[in-house]
Amino acid sequence: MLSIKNLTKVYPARGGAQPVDALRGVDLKVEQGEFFALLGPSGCGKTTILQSIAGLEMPTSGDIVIGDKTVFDAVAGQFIPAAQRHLGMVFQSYAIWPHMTVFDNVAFPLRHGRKRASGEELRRRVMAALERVKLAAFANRPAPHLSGGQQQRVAIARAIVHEPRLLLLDEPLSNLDARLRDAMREELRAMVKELGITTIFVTHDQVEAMGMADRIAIIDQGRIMQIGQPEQIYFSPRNAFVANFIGRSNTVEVKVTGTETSNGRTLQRLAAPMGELVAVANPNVSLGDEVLCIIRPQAFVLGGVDAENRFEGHVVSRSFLGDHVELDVAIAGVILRIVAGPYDTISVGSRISLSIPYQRCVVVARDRV
Amino acid sequence: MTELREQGIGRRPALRTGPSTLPQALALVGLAALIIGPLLILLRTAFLPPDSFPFDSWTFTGQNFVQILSDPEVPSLLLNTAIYASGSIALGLLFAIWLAWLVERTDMPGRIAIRVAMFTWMAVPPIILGFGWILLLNPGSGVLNGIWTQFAGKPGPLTIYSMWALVFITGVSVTPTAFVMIGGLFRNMDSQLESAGYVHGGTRMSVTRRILIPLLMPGLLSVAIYVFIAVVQTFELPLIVGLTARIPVLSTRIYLLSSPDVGVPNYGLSAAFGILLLAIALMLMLLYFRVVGAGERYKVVTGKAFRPRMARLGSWRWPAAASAFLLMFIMVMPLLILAWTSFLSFYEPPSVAALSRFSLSTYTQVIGRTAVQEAIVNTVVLVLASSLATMALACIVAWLSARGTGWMSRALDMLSFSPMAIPPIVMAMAILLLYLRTPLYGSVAILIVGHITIYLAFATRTMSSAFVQLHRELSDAAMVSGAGWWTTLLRIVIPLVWPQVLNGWVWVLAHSARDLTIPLLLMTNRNMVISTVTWTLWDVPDLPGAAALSMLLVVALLCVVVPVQVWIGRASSRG
Ligand SMILES: Nc1ncnc2c1ncn2[C@@H]1O[C@H](COP(=O)(O)OP(=O)(O)OP(=O)(O)O)[C@@H](O)[C@H]1O
Ligand SMILES: [Mg+2]
Repeated sequence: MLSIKNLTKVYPARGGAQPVDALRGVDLKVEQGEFFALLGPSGCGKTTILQSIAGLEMPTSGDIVIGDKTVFDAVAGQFIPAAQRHLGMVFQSYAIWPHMTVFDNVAFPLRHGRKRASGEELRRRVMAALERVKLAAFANRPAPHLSGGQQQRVAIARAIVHEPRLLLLDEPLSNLDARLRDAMREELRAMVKELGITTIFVTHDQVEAMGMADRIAIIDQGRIMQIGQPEQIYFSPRNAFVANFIGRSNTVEVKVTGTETSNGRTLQRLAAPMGELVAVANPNVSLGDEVLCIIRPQAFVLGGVDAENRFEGHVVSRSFLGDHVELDVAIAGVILRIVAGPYDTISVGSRISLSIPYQRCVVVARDRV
Repeated sequence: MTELREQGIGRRPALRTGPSTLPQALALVGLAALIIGPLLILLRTAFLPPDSFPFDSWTFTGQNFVQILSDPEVPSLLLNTAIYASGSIALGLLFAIWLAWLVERTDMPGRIAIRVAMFTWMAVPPIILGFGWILLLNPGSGVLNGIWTQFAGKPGPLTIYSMWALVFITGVSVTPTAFVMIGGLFRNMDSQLESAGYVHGGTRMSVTRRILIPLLMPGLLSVAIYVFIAVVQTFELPLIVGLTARIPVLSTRIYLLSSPDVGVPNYGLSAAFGILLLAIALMLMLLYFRVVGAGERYKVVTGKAFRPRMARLGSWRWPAAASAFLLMFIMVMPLLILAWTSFLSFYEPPSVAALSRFSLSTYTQVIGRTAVQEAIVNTVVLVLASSLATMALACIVAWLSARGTGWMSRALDMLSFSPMAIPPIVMAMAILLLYLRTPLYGSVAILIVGHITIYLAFATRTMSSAFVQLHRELSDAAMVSGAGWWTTLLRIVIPLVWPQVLNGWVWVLAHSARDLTIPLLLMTNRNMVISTVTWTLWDVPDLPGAAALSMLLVVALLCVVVPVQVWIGRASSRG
């Protein structure tokens, strides 16, 4: 449905400042009907990607194909303006036009867009879109007299009223309060899934991305770090950045000391500061490499009986966070963060023994600095 | 390797996300024709041999410039211009800072009234102020001299025909412009910066000296240069007052050479003087942009909502108000005396006895004349056409240059601002030279063209700053919805900045109605407008006639300007 190849964007230097490399070679493919999230820290280039897809920003090189139509190709010098791409977009600020009523805002794409409608047809479609976001009763309200959540719904109605082939959402939930955000998350996903519109969705909130997206692209400093389903990204992060950005992780510096096969799986033995670790092998690292082993705080089994990866340590600190308890455990001088249940009564200073199933240890290459 | 070269490098087409190339190119060509065309002719004319017309010969000579350089009068001409401009802005700024501080940063009574008066002052043509001041300060018969004589028993020493009077009058007349700009500075200053000074132990004196003044300095300097440019370029007051006083300045010299009372016009020399004035204005303009650039660094506009600190005047409230209203009274004095004159059939100084001779006969007489009736029709056509066309063009140009990318949008931007540096008298001269032999000469259309050219810069500036403040996503949303740049401009952008559009429109309208420069230089008996008719009546002299027509113009303009200003004030306080 959407395919982006080797997209780069350099914002030219202005007023003595350095040029900004906002995108440095982005490749991605989104399938028809997919709900796809772009996730990354502030300033990583998410909005720039979205605006390039929409045709609001001119990439420096690369190409973008929507459906079977090339909308941007730097080499061939092709650029289809935003107005002709037939997309729907919800902006970060919602961009509800304050001089119009709710109805007129939503009717705009049908009145002035590429596929026009008028009269009864226009009315029917606008009202259908408003009903979908449960705002039918507000049709004649002037746009400024709306709450934040209602404005967001108007923005969604405006983005879907002309049945675009691609829906772009730029942090659509970030301006809402926590409770409304939780409700809208489900609603929004259910709605676009029902309509079957391919959706690309920008966020810097991992919970949002995990909960809503079919697939996620993790972006850092203008590059895609990893693309995959939420579970895939959570359980097998490809590098330390992804591991720390999605949830938190213990990152242990290790060296590969051996490879072996057990029950048909290839495992790697690692020399870690706290002793030997066994982990599922990463085919991209070889014997003798200095690598990282990533262990989620939730991966530990307290008092476990597994043969591998058994350690003893003492609790350095403990914080009670309601739903769970965070423990810092010192094992041979290495401090590991461990999450325990609220009913596990473990006090500071006590010695505990724990084990880490080898499936839960992920070996990644060290980031090139 | 060859493939790479063939595909890419060197022949990448110009791409842009905003409006496509065609509208930008069209706008660029239009602007160039409007602005660069006349200037080229002016340049050509400046190198013309004496006693010939542009387009007549192909010889180029530097004679005119040699004549300027060897003319013993030129140094004193430049000195006069410099003294005149610096004197008036010193006075104007002093008045404006005082008023702006009282209005924007204190609790003086009557603040609102003064602000409204200052914002509507644009409805008062400078030539009318000139006439009024002449009636007030005439050496023999001036009203103020008369009052002096009554009290002191000997003839008053005041005279309008002197440098100081010219400086005073101009200073008073630039006060409202400076007030509007300086008021903006005061209003937009984040008072937290001052509060921080007090919190950290500063006294009122030291906060003013160390924080307030340094912060305001770049802004004030840029206002000063802006007004300086305006005064160097101004033509009407030096014409009315300065000619009799034999205080020639550059602008009046250009006029006299191109429209002498006796003899044939010396277009070549006049154009050469025009180039000189243009060069001076350009240098000042560059200075202005440097200072404005420095002001950006000290940016005091934070965009947060805040209320400026109001100084409490205490027992000084009434004296302060008295000083402000005295200043206002001085400003409206010329209007009062003109109003007085307009009700009399023959001019006489104000007295109780003369009240019995009050009548509206002058008004009926003036309006009865066919020449005046034609002038009124011409004025209405001129003012409406030029203000509407200027705003339409300004909106399009500002939008194309704000949202476009690449060299064309930058060129549009520069070209539309450039008339700021071109003195109206020079532009008028250039337009005269360009259209002298065409059917357009002598028509109202040529005046419209002239006004569009000289007011475009202000209008474009107003619209650009309005567009910059508009959240970009509002227009992006329209484009993604499938609307082209024109629909976006028409349906989304202009409705959202409507108050600024109206503000710019009323400004151009008022200035077009009050301007004498363009209509006078391009005057024939077929394209008289109210300002030129008033000028001829004054020249006759028919003082009551000129006064009555002036009053009509002022009242008519007030009827447009005041409601629009009130509406804008409401609209922006609502938003
Ligand atoms: N018009 C511009 N000119 C210069 N640099 C820009 C411009 N727009 C964005 N940038 C820079 O490009 C980088 C990517 O910006 P972008 O807006 O895509 O980030 P983002 O991921 O959307 O961040 P956020 O989550 O804060 O919205 C940033 O470093 C930003 O400073
Ligand atoms: Mg963003």
